[in-house]
Amino acid sequence: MKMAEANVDRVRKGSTAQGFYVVGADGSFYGYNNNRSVVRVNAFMDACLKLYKSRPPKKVEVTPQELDAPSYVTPPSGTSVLRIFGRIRPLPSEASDRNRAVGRDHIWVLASELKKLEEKLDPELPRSFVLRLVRFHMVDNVRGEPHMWAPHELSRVEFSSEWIDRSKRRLRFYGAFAMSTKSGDHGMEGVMEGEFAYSPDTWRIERFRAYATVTAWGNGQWAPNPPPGRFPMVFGIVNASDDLTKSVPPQAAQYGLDYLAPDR
Amino acid sequence: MITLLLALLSVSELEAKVASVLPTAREDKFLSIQWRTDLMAARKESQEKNKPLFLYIMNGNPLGCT
Repeated sequence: MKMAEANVDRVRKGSTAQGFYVVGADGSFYGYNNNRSVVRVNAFMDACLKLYKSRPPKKVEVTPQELDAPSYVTPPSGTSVLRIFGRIRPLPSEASDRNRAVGRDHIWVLASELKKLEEKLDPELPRSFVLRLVRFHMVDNVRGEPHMWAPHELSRVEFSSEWIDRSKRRLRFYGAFAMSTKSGDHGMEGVMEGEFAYSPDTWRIERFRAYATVTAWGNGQWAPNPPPGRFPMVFGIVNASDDLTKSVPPQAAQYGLDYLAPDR
Repeated sequence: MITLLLALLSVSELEAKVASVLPTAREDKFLSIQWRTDLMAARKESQEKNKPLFLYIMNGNPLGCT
């Protein structure tokens, strides 16, 4: 951030620091660009590389302490990671191109939440998991930063579940939800169904599939230009298998929201 | 228990519905770049390879959200 403030006028003026930077390991600054045009990004990288070669950075020590410090918020041990994708579909004909994108995020499911499924004869999805899903992941992040729902913005959150095969720890679930901002300008209502299996040895999810259909309206502060009026959205959720997904925390966890205890 | 007016999907229907939302190969193309997620490790590697660091900084993690 210091590097950005020292070198980029818009950052110094308090505007966004988002964008592409080229820097040296010692903090030397070679360039900044927040334009996504392929031609401009390529030209930007070429210019920065030329500058790097003409003015190489000083040698610095990256200490073991720096290397050991976690780069991101990390989940409790044993946490399972899911991937969620959202789309506006079918896309209304009058919607702008930005609405064609796919929204992405990661979801954490705690081992303690899977253990709770065993407490009763009939499984009951832990409230913390359900509220995490609804508050932080049933959001319109198709055009960028979504509005994440506060507890008082939820008007309906009803989920139920049943074993498909208890011995194999396979269950299915259904849910209905509705939420909106106080003004009513932005909201969502929808249903979700899914099924998953977990291991009682590792308390990790082994397979997860869920699908949600939603009617949305309006937009959050940072994701303007949604389709006009009410528009349809769909969400798909799958278990993550790659290391990259597992290393990048969910957006809400990074923001320090009540991600781990959304029911508190 | 709640009453939901859902036409329940079979396992294969659910799988197909979920698959229809997943990113296309074109939409995932940026993941073919071997992004580093640990800044300090990347600084070290940058020095070792004598290459600059290309930082992609967004409020929503480019590899996770939005």
